[in-house]
Amino acid sequence: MDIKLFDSELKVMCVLWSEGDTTAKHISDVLKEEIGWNMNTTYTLIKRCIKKGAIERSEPNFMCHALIPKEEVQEAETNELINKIYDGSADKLFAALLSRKKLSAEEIEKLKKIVSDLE
Amino acid sequence: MTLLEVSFSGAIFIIAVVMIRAVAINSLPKKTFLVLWEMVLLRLIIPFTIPSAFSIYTLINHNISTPAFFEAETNNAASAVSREYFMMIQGMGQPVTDIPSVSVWFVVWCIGMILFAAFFMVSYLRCRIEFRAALPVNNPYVEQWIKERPLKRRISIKQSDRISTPLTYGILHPVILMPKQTDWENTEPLQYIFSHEYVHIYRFDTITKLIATYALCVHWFNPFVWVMYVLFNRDIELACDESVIKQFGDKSKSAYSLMLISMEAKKSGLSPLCSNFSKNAIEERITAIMNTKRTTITALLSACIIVFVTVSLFATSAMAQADNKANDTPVISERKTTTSDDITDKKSAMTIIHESADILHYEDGAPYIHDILTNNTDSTIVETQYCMLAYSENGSPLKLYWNFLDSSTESSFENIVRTKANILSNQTEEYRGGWSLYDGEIMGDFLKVGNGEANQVAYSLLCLKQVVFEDGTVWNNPNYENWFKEYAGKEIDIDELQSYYPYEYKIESN
Repeated sequence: MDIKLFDSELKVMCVLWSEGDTTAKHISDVLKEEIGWNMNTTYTLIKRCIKKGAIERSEPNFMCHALIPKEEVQEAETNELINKIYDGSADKLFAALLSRKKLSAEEIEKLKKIVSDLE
Repeated sequence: MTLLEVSFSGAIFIIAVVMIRAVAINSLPKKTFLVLWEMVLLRLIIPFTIPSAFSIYTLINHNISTPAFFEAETNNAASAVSREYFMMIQGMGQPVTDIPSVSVWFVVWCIGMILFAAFFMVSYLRCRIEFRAALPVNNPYVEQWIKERPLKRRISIKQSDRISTPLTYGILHPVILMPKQTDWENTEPLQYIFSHEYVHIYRFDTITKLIATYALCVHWFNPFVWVMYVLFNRDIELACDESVIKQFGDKSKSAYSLMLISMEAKKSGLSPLCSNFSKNAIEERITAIMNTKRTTITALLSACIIVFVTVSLFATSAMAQADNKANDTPVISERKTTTSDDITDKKSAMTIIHESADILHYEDGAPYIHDILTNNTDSTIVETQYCMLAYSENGSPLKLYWNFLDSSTESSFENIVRTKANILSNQTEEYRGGWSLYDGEIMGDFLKVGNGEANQVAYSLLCLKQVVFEDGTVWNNPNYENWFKEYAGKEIDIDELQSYYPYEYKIESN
């Protein structure tokens, strides 16, 4: 099974892996202590993990169970999702719409040449 | 000013700044452009005008006799839009439209604005939710750096695997968010990055960007405002770079530029739309950094002059616009934008004036009272009813046989007359004869009235009691009774008799 998780989601999984099955409330408490996340943040991340199939939820008390062992998790590749984030400002949106094309090797050389020429 | 007028003059202002920017981007302090863009923002957001003799619009009005070009257009098409725009700004609720075609544009504008605002808000909130899940950074260099900042606001530095370039968010509790790949051991690029973000935090650039986004949402239909938005955001970065370079000295220019290039190279690809837009931006940025010079007095002075001249030319409006309009376009009164205040002003200014009432004599010496009325209302007078009183040379009230042709008449102080005579709006009544008086000595061939004595009337006071207008409205003088009590049968001072005219009646419209 190919499950990709982001760092923040891995933090949630780490709690499950080290403490075994536990409630969402407990995960939230642990992460509040450890990282300073509030309950909403942790719950959002737990739900994402459920959606990705990394966690199974059971009632009562929103019990969480890790569906995959630590060894099988892959790091999600950042680049695929970055494009979807424009931190709310239109210039980022523009950047996303108009460019976000990786600079080619020649273009980077050209920029470096500008630097050395103007030095 | 209407929204379209604001947007139009904003566009002119933007074109001017873009031109200055193209010519002088590398020779002026970058702060200059920030100030200019902020002025543009004020122009776009605040609907007030600052009249100035130096305004480009004053100059245009003086040189070209047809400023009607955009005034006429905006008056007709945009006045209603703008009225609603201001109402909305003032939170005054329900827009009122009398012209349906205008309200279509208003609705289109409104929908556009809401869509853009919603888009920016949603993407902002999504990011904030995402950033909340960022992870803390435990690094002695970072902790030391934060400790060294004197800012009152608590800055925190976090990292996330969801971003590829460093960014800053939050106003009261600013957070510098670093990509996961950051090399925390290599402190030289770190100090540049942190310093750059710190300048953003220190200058409250988040708020500036927010205001710019607001202006963009309001003026979404104006392509020049989009240009402004893009260039303003670039210039914020350039000004930030400039202040980092100043902080670290000229030697840092190359290292800083190379760091930016390597960060740019790390950025993700995968965009279907390709253009040179952002590549130009990075090139512009690198060139600007490499060209950063120490700010000389000359540069500072020319920056101040440029800002002053540009702002006074483009941020202001024509002086005494109303006067110009009145001269250029006599049909001004047809404008439908008059507010209810204007109407009351206009009505309260309406008067009828009794210019004079003189005792004149016919060729045979028979006396008569001749009065002149001016109609300063906006409709034709068709009938007047007024009271006449007569006084002797000494100011004593006289009892007269006013209707001396009727033998049964009694003498009285007052004579109330009703006349049908048309007086057009804003006209002074032409000579139309007068009220004949009895003079026993001259008019010997008439039936003798009273004791048949000679006329003693030297002064006559007249007061309108009622006026009927063409449209059938009737004005009753509310002061008539007071007037009558004050004068009828009373001894009146000669000075007052002589200075009674012109006597003005204020017409309160119904």
